Formats: sequence, structure tokens, C-alpha cells
Amino acid sequence: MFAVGLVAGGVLSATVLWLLSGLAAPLPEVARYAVVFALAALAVPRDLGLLRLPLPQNARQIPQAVLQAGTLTGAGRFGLELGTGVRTYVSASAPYVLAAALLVASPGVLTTLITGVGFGIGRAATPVARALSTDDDAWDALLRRRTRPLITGAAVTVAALLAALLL
Amino acid sequence: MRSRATDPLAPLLVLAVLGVATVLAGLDVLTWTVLGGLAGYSLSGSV
Repeated sequence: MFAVGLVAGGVLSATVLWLLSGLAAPLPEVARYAVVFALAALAVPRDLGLLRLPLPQNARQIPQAVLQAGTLTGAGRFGLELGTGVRTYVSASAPYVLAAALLVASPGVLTTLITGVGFGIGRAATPVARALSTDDDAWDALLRRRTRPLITGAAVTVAALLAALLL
Repeated sequence: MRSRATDPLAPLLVLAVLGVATVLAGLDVLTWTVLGGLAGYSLSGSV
């Protein structure tokens, strides 16, 4: 149920982004894409810790009470809230760049929703990789050491893929 | 081998390779899906 909630949350946020994307439609394509690539260019130094650029986030953890609503219901709701990407901390820049790209590039409703599915699957990859490891505590410690290269690598890859798609 | 496969950077590398492959194959929808996966995975450790 947790993974289903993650994917549903991603699709929910993608739906909102698709609905809002119409607001950017009147702007010239050059201006819209310039916003995306400006944000992508700032994302890498931000994730490297070289640039302080506060971005909007819900700076709190999802309340533990959500998980206490029953095993299946709690896990599903926790996944849903986590999957939206707006109910807890956003510790990397890549989600902002992707959200901006979906808003201004507006690749179509189906593509936007599938991107939301991808977001949920990406979020689910963390507990899967952790479960596949032999030592949860060691994996958590390794993740803490790998956080900087992970979020920076994601920002660089997102920027490169968006350049390939939009330019 | 198993520790490398479950390294926290492994899913990022897999997604990056998939992204390049979908771009080269002209599969734009799948590229967007990979972008979603990258954005989601970049939030590892953020709950």
C-alpha cells in the first residue's frame, strides 16, 4: 500500500501541475524554456552547497499519527503524502526543475501523469534499495554519505535530459 | 557485488542510463518518466 500511495501522490501532484500549466501557455516558448534552464543551472551549485537559494517547501515531517491509522490505511496515506512531494521537506533541487518544466513545457496530460508515476516509483526505489541491502543501519549511513553526490547527480542528469527533450 | 547493487547511487546510475537510452531511442514519454524517477529518487532520505 505504501508504494501504491507513493505513485498516487505523484500522479496527484502531476495532475495539479498539468492543470496549472495552462497559465504559462500565453508566454513565448523562449521565455518559458529560459525559466526552466535558468532554474536547472542554479540547481547544480545549490545542490553542491555553493549557492544558498531557499525554495518553497513544507518544512516539516509527515506526522507519525498518519502511520497509526492502521497498517494498510496508514502506510497508504503515508505513501500518498510522501508521493505528492509537497507534504514534507524537499531536500533536492531536481523536483523543482522538473515541476517547472512540466508547468511551462506542458508535454500533454498523459505524459505529465506518467511523469508523476515515475516520481512515485523513484520515491519507492529508496525503501526497495534499503530492503535489498543486508544491513539497514549501514545502508542509512551510506545514504547520508552519498546524499550530496546523489542529489547533485540527479540535478545534472535532469538538466541534461530536459535539454535533450526541449532544445 | 550485492553491496554495489544496493548502493544508494545505483538507482541514480540506472535512471541516468535509462534516460540516455530513451533520448537516443526518441521515446520522449519514457524520458519524462525517467525524469520523474530521478526527481523522486533525489528525495531519498527526505521523509
